[in-house]
Amino acid sequence: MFSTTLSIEKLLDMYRKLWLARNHELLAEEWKLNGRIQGSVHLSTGQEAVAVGACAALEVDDYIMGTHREHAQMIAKGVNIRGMAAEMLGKVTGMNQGKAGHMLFSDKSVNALGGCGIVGGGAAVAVGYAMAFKILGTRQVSLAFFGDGAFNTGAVHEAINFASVRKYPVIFLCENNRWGLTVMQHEQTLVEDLADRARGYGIPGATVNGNDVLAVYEAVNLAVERARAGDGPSVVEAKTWRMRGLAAGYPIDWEPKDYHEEGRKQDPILLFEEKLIAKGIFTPEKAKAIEEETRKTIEEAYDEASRAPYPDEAVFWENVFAAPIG
Amino acid sequence: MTMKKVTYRQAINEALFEEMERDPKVVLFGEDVGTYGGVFKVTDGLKKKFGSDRVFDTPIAEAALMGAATGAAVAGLRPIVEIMFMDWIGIAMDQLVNQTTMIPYIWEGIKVPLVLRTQGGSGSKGSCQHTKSLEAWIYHVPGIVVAMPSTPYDAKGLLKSAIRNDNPVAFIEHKMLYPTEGEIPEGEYTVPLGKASVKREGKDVTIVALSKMVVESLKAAKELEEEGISVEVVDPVTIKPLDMETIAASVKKTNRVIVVNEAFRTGAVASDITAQIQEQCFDDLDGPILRVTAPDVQIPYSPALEQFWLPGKDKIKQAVLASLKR
Ligand SMILES: Cc1ncc(C[n+]2csc(CCOP(=O)(O)OP(=O)(O)O)c2C)c(N)n1
Repeated sequence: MFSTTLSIEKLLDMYRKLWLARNHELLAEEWKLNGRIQGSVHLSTGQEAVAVGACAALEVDDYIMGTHREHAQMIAKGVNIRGMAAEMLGKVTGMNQGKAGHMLFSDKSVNALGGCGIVGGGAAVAVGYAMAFKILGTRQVSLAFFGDGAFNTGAVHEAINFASVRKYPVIFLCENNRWGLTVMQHEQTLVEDLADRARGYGIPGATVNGNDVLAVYEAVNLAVERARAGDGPSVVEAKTWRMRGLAAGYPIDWEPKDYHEEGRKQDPILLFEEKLIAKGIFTPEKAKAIEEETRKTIEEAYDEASRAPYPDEAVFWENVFAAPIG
Repeated sequence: MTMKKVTYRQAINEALFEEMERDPKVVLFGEDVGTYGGVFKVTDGLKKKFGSDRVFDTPIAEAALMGAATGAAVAGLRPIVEIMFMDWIGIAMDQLVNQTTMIPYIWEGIKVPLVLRTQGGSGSKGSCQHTKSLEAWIYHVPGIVVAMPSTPYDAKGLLKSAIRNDNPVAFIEHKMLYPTEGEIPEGEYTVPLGKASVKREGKDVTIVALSKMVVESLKAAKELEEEGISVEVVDPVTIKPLDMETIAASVKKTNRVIVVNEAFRTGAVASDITAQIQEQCFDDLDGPILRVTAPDVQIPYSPALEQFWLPGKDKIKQAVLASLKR
């Protein structure tokens, strides 16, 4: 059992987003492996609750900055799924007209701005979003996703310290799946709970189970309240497990077995589903229906995208300079 | 000499093995280079052979990597440091510009014998944060040797020379060349730094091409031969210092030059090579030196768009024909 102030409608929306993200990852993996998606594809299979819990604490006006493992983050923020599918295929109907591909896409309509393939780099940009909100006097906040590996970069350190001293309304969300690409957390830092570092910046830090979508929501919600009140940034560390290799098609047989066993045991969708059913909010049948409906939504989006045209040369030359010069 | 066929990737791997075997002061570090053997598998097997004191994975920390390689070189090691993709060389760049290359000139008598290994190049559908060729940035800095081999033979022999050299050397690989094959000697050999290589002899036009553009230029030359046009292809191999003697001898013979460089056009290494040729060979030229480069446009993901960015065989052929009309 659990207690929450969230409405049933909101809880169901979170459950649906978990499935939307999971089904997206399953299909994207398949399409990458059979050659229908090109380039590398970093999957967030198993990590969906971090993104869904965090974005549940945000408004549409709030900005997020994602990572190279961005699909669940973007879906959680509410991006247009059809635009996303088309972007993954490099089609002109993609949300960035096929220019971005899977690591970099953005959707201004929901302020998902955006993915980032430079590890750690996005956190600094999120500080800038928050700087603008504070100076312009809006009530918005920004949230930067970054990994445990990214937490060792200079860019993230500089960003957090900068935002702290300026009291900018930003949430630093460390999505800790315990891995860089092929190097585990304990080989990259001696710190166990990475949110402990918050103390070193003079701001609050919290570590939660990132596979518990409500725990992530609660922690981020507190951080958002603090940011909106003008008290500055916080660090939230959500510990999670990636169920796949570092990207689609990479083997996991050489990775520690117990890591993957634990990850499977802690499937964030099942954990949430059990709670919702125990609370009588919905039934296994309804859960199944949501799983099916989201799978169809993803399939339809990709089918439509695969029939859409590619961008032409005119698109290539657009926005080299996005504003007139002189 | 007995020869054997290897890939560009294997050639580099062999050079690393042989030089680490030869000199215990050679160490190798970077992100994912140890246990996994590099995301492109170039450093495969080295950690197992030489142990984790000499070959190791690091945190994600490009600035510290470059700085530490510099310090270790000053203090008596011969480090090989890998920056996984050239797209984020910027993070290491301050160290390179203000420490690595400053020290030997300003702190008289102190040498910095390190090799910075990185790779660039497009064609992988990697979108704009995993495909850039930024050799011009490094090339711009005084005091560093810059090598860009195009064949397995040059890659192996040149890397061995680079590791033995007492100057900082940037060794720039091309991701699309890793699987390409070529012949190398069974036994020990080196290729000297600072020496160009004529990859094909011809009499009508000289092409000076860098890295993978050598391969594209050779394809173009072959097709042009069928049209009765004889093309000479010169590969500088080391772009700094540039072997102007070999280039000038070729220009003296053909009187026409095309410079080919897969990089943003403005400020590309091609621009500087063009300037050097016109300064030194003006009287031998029958027409303007033409450049084949990528446009000043970010590198888009979509396979349909990437082709507009990439220079290659067809654009090179067009330039040769244009040059002959002048
Ligand atoms: C500045 C920079 N360095 C290195 C890389 C290569 N790289 C891509 S993902 C990754 C691991 C990132 O680990 P983490 O931040 O924990 O995110 P995760 O992949 O686990 O989601 C690395 C090293 C990069 N993209 N950018």
